[in-house]
Amino acid sequence: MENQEILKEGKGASAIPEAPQIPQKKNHSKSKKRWTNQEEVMGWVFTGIPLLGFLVFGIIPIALSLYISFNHFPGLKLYEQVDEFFPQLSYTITFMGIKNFSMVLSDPAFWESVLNTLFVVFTAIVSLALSVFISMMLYHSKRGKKFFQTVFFIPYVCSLVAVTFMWQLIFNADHGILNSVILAFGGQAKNWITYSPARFRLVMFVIMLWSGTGFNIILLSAALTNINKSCYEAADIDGAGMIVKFFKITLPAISPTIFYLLVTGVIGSLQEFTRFQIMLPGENSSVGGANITVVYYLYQKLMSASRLTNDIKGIGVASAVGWILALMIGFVTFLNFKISKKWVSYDE
Amino acid sequence: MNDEMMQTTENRAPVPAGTPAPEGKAKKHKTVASNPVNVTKKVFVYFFLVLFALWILVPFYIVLVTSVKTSAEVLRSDFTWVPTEGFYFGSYASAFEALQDSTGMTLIRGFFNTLWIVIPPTVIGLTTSAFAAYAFAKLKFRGKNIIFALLLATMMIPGMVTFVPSFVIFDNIGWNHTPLPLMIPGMFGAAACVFYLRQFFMGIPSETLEAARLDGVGYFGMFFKMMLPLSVPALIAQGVLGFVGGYNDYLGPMLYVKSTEFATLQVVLSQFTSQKSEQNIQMACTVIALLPTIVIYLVAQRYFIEGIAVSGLK
Repeated sequence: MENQEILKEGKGASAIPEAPQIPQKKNHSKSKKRWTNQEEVMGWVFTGIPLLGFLVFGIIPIALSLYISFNHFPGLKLYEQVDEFFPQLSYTITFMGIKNFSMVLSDPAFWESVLNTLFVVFTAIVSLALSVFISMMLYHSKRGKKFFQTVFFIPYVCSLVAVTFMWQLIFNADHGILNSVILAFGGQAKNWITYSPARFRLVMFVIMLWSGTGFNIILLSAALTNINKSCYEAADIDGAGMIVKFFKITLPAISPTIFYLLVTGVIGSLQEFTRFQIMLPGENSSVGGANITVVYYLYQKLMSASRLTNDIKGIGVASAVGWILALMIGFVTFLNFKISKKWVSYDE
Repeated sequence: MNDEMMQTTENRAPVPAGTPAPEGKAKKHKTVASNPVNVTKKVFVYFFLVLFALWILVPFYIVLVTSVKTSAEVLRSDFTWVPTEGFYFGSYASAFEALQDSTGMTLIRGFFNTLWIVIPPTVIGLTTSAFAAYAFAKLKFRGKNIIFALLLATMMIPGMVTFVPSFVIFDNIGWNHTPLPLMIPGMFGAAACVFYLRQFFMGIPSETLEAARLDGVGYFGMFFKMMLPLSVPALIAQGVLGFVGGYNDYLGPMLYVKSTEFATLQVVLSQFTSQKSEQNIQMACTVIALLPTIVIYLVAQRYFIEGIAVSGLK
């Protein structure tokens, strides 16, 4: 009974004023008792701050998001305003049911953005495979290992805005380096960025591959150095071949890391925005909407909602997109965990 | 043994034409580390490492060399690896000019805005995370496991669910077009940081703390005099990672402080390059924007690697 009361107090950050009410235990010496109570209070205060942040910036928005996504708002205001004399000026909230969701799901532009985002996911998987290969190379190098590691990680700390500009210069149609190299080899200069969806995707693939490997390589290298060398020695004695050793020793040993990188990589890819928005802002007919990822789509919906319109799109629709994306992320994470049970080994 | 491993990777990797295949030789010298095999292996390994390093570094060089070319030279269709018309640093001077719009922002102003928006939340958030981590690692209190589970749950929630409602809330309380939405939430600490530091604090022996406790050191004294000094590397690791993440953030500033006087460096950069068409100026801006984080990384490399490696390996 008493315990439960304390528990309730402890959940909020308001534990300080309640502190004197904490019931005293009888079977302890006085100093020990004081100490214990103080320890409880301190524990709640210290852990209560992040918890309060979680409630205010996590739980409340999620609850509100449910409300928003089932209603229509003419603007960003959350409360109604009725103007008796000029009804057209009033601000009314209408219940939409699941219409916001069905509107998003029946929008071809949304599915286009899903397709573009899945392409980002695909890139992340390719970049993970490349990272495994480069980490193996790094593992077998001796001289210059530190140098290579330093270099490989640099893209991770670079701003995506700047990196996108960097590659814009390289792929530039008029005086980009790539075209001038192609010309030097007798080829034809190409419009890389704004010619076709396929070519635009190729450009984005290169950019994402360039900036996506650094983080993976650091973690994979750490995992590789942790493999017990005696496993390989034992395998040598048994006369195991190289393929067998890679698939039976190396891959299982680093599989938890690969799995972790896969999950975080896929989740990050589903939220891709910056590189696409910088590379080609807004609608661009020449690439047929290949530059709009799901988050970019959401961003556009949110921006159009900020301008006061009676257009049926609004924060309700934007919020519905947010939920659909979150469900996609949840589904992918769930799927990853399901699949991982088959091949990830957590023996060590 | 290493030779065997080597071939393993070779088999699954796309072997480019012209790379010598050491397979036949290696089989003969299965357990004896003979020279030809070692050499082939070395060539193979370093071929890919150098290739990959070039792939990472050459784009930087292209940016750098373009930024010091004259405006006339960058317009020519043939790219040269060295500036043929001499080095020109006027592009850097232009990069520091103000934006031609109502805000009149400059890169410098954007840089200081970034520092102002990123550093206080990073430092305060790190402190609150450290306090929470200390409590989770070393204090006994009822409900600890429940609170811990709740915090764990925050890491499971995709940020995209709170994206729209947060924007709406901040707009309704008048925080839109101010840096507050970018600053305040981070000050409550981050769950990931709490777990990382908790892991670190658990490694500090409780006996030491018990001894201090008997000497009459209070909770805050214990935290500031014992936990913090012992965990400086962990704190720096989280601090630099947090700073670099905030410095490079684009979506948040775009949403809240775009076209205000609080615009961050990334936002100013994105607007600057759309206004200035000369490539040398664009690339000068890019160099200026890239430099701070690369310098921080090179100086504090150890902490970066540590911070990341630990978070990934549970």
